[in-house]
Amino acid sequence: MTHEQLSVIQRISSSIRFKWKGLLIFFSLLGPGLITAFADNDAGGVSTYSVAGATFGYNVLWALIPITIMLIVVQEMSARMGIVTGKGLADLIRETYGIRLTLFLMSGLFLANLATVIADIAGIAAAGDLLGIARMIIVPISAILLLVFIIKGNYKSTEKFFFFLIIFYLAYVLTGFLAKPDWAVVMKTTFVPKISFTSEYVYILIGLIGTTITPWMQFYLQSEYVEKGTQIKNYKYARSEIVMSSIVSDTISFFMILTCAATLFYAGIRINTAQEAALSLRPLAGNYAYIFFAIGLLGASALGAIIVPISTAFSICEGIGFETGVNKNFKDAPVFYWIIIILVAIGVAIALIPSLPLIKIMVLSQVFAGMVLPIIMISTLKIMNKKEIMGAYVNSKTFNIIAYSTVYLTIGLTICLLVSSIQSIF
Amino acid sequence: MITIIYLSQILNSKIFDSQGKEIGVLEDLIILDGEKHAEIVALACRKNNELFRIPINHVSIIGKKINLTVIKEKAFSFGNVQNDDLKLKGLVLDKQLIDVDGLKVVRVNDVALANVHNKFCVIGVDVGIRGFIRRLSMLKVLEKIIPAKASNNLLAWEFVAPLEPDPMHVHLKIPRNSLKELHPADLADLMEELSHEERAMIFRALDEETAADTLIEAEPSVQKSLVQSIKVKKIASVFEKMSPDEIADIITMMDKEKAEELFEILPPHIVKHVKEILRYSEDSAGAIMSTEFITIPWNYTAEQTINKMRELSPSAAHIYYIYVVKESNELMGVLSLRHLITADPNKRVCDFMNTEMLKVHTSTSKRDMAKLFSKYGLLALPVVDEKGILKGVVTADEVIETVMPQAWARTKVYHKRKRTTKNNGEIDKKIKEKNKQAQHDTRTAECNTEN
Repeated sequence: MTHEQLSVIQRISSSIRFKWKGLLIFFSLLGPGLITAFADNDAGGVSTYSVAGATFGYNVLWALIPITIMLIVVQEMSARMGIVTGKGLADLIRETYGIRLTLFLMSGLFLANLATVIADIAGIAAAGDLLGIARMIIVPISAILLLVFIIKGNYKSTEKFFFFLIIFYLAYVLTGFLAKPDWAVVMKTTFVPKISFTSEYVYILIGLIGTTITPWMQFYLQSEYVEKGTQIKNYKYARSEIVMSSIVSDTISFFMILTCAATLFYAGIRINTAQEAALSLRPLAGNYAYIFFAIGLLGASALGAIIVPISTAFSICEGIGFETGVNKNFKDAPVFYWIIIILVAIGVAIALIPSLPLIKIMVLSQVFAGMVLPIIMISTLKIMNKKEIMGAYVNSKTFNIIAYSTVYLTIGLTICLLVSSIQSIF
Repeated sequence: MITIIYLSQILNSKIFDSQGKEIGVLEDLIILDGEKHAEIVALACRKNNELFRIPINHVSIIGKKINLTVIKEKAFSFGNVQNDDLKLKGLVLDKQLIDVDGLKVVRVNDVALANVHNKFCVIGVDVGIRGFIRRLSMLKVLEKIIPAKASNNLLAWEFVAPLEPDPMHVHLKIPRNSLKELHPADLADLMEELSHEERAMIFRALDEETAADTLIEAEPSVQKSLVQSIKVKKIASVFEKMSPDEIADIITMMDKEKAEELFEILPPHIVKHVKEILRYSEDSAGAIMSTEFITIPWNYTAEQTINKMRELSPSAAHIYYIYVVKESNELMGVLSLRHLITADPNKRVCDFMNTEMLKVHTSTSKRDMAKLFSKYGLLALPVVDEKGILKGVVTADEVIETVMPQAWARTKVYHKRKRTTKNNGEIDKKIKEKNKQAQHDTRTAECNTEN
């Protein structure tokens, strides 16, 4: 072999090695984005998507495309903020806005997250209904288990376990095909928006936004990147992870709506209970549909019920200045643990109200989270555009346009909903 | 009679000149940092979006209302607030600081000011819930609910350190001494709770010895973030205080370019050792062995050996076994301390050394070494290469650390924390003394004001 040939081979092999290195970094970063995106399909998510599909058929599919773009933009901003500043969102909010606004934003966050926790514990109750376990048994027991996991155990590995359970949701993708939907109609409704301005439709739209782009997600994702210590030069990998996991997660959401539309909507079934939601999986799982749905729901609910209280407690303590951290004991960080306990306790108390319409509560919680979203997003966006904080990484114009349209769209929808519900009262 | 004023109580107060004319509002206070207190040198007065610097000696009353001793024109004649002025509100309020003694990162909810020796000073920061509520102007409402004593979280100014100095400003004080007094293991623990910039900031403030120990004690994730964000020069000087195997551990976490750069700066003999260790696979004896050990030529007498040991005064970890080698550094035998002391002083070491010793190869796995250690109850094992040349020594604790199951590794952290609390106990006492001193100071200040 000549000298030249050798050097060419060397160059090729080194470039391959470089790619391998890139791939390795990519996989090591693969995590925060994917876990967050999947946890977005929690109990509230599943019920909202199911109800959307069953009530409006394919006519809500189009919404997932703009929602996915918004999700990518919002998650990317959180990651960028975390990587550039090395600080959590609550920390930045406090240092930028001072005490009053911090308290206001934290209260908003608390309420939105409380709604999500309630939905998740309601999800556990619903899974219990499906598996034939009484709510009075499964809810308190799992709540205690969750608290033990959070306080005593390693919640990171617990998180991964429940993450694994969500894989059961892939059943929706298979069922989506087995249900033999009319693909031409699906394509058309996906790419050609058809909007109706009934209050029920607007309600579901806000729910869809609220369940996909959650306020807690922004705090959680940012703190994950801060904790990982991702370097600014690896930021492009974080970015591709976010794009990928957002698309994967919303594809699953897409199939949830599609499946429910193809099965329940055409059978004329409107979802009021978890049993009815589970029916959508019949084409794939037959009589085991209940079990598939229940396990997926249990995993998603538990994942949410672990992440959301911890994330809430972290954010609030960080913003207000209490001791935080799961590696501290109760005496050192009492407020931190009390926030977690109160969130779970309220969730349990509400989920145990006899004959509570669980699905309705879960959807309502997501609509509420959607209404709180603009407040949190505006404060994030103000920080994202501050040169003294973000330096060269301030938001680009495109990002601002997309993000602000999300904000105004959600505000607009909320106003529509409020106006129409006030009208309906009179 | 006011003893302590809080910053939140005076911010945005109206400022009146000597003729009682309102000239602006209090935007901030300009401070001069000191050892124990930070002296307030001027007011930052906001008037029509401009910040004027009014020296404190022209202020007669400070409170809900601020009165000056000069007229408006004079007050505004000292110019604007400069970029390099230390602004109390901008730099401290709502920011996170290190509570150097409590080993915590705290959030400043309010700042306590008082007259000390006739000077208006910052005496501490309020990190408690009371400060938070006071800021919300709801103190009177909540005073009944939250008892005053339970939440009095005033940290003395001398015990707090800033996390991030703004490059635009002169550094706010960094009490390097207080940081240095902390145990490196505690510092490493503290670092886990900080952001990367904050870690780097503390790290830079440490002297090389402490920095090296802290780096060794830190969790891998913290180590990684530190070496990535600290300049090569500082790392090099810290590395010089570390052993080659420790350096090798950390260098594997760095980018290739940064590692290359380091190799260029570090002294050649260190680089040689480190590169040698890096050649071995991660799980092998070669990778974890220490290259500091004591060898004695085979023809030494017991007395010569003892003298040599005195001269070298080795650390505890390396004193138990003394290795006997040929000129080529080939391992011949081992002596224990007991052997050496009980032997006839004139006897040559090769005549009473143990030649049937256990040794491992540089490629021996950790698991196998762990078995040897536990089976024979040894403290250290010599590591040799293919030719039998002595390359290093592996101590039992290093092997245990690496093969220990996760559950055990946690207990180590537990012990670390226990030590923290113990230290805290001592420090608590110190704080109490200091607080007494501070109270005394304020009392003196009160007397001064009364005079």
